[in-house]
Amino acid sequence: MADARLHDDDARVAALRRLDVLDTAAEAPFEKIVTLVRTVLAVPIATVTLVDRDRQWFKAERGIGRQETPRAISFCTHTIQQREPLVVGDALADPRFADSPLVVGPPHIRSYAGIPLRTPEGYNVGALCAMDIVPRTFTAAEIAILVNFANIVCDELELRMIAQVDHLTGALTRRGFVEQAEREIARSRRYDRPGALVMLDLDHFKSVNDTHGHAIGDQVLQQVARIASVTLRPSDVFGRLGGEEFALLLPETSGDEAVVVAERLRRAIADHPIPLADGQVLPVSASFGVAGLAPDIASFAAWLERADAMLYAAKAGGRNCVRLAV
Amino acid sequence: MEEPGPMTPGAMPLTIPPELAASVARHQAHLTALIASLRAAGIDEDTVAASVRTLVDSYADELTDALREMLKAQHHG
Repeated sequence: MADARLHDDDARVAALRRLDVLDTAAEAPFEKIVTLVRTVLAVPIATVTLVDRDRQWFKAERGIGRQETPRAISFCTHTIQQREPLVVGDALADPRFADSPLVVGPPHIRSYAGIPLRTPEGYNVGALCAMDIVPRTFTAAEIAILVNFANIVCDELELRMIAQVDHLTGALTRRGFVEQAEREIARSRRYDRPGALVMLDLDHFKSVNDTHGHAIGDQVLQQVARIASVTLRPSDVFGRLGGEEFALLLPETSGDEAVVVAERLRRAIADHPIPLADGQVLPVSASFGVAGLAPDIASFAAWLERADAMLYAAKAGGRNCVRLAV
Repeated sequence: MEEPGPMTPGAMPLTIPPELAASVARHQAHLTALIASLRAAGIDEDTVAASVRTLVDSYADELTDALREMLKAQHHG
């Protein structure tokens, strides 16, 4: 069953985006690992490659001399479709790669060993690669070394992810959410694509804590996060901005479409009261503010402000409802 | 009885959250496997030691950052 994840590219790309590592600056751990791979395996080229929807992007590289290439010409697009290492002894003798511009032109890759970089959820988001400009037989011992370096790359990626997750609810932390939202604004602008931001705030949450205690309050927060996780698409981003306030980032979604999503989530939350120890149930509801990514929104702060104004309108309008910025 | 770790006077004892502790344990296991594979491939001990030192140092830096972020998030949560 796990291998179904090898062929679900939408979910794989969503997992990659959740790592929040694409188009980020160079970072020491990855730089050091490619340097070590080059030294230990005595190869001229080593990369930590992340495979995006239409490109391969190098988080760290030695010997490639560029930041990204089209995915279609890459070796790594093949590596991520399998669990085992991909080893190519002579690219000119392999019909998949013989015509690749990376083989017939600079950097003239002739042999390749790539180890899939697998997230804890089981998605191959990229590969750790060692490449040579001459035909080469990578030994089993060399592949074992590369596999172990790849595990350490995954450790580093996972560590970043752990720091961005709110451990009560599993949602992104405020900082993690803001970073992803800023990247989404840039992506939407670059490709002229829609996007929507939804803020939600639990109604009367303070009185839940005051009346029933923080343990029940925590249960409410966890339940809302659980409902969100089954309601949202893999590409959607869910974050806890603080206290009882959450936000959803919906890529490729207009404001009107986001209202449908918010309305579905609102109903699901209201339909799931929390059972209490005395046999009673605690009703739960949330108010929602929605804002599409309008042309005049220049920053995440401005986008958040617009959604927050709508959230305020939803609260003022009686709570347990959705309001859209127009 | 557990040996207490080094502490700055007046500082709180450092506890690593379980999510990070699991990550640290995995990283240790991966480093151990890397060392074994480097030795098995006949890499000289100086290179093995230098490689491991580099990886340990950079993971420690990232771990410190992650801890700081988690503590900040708990504080604002």
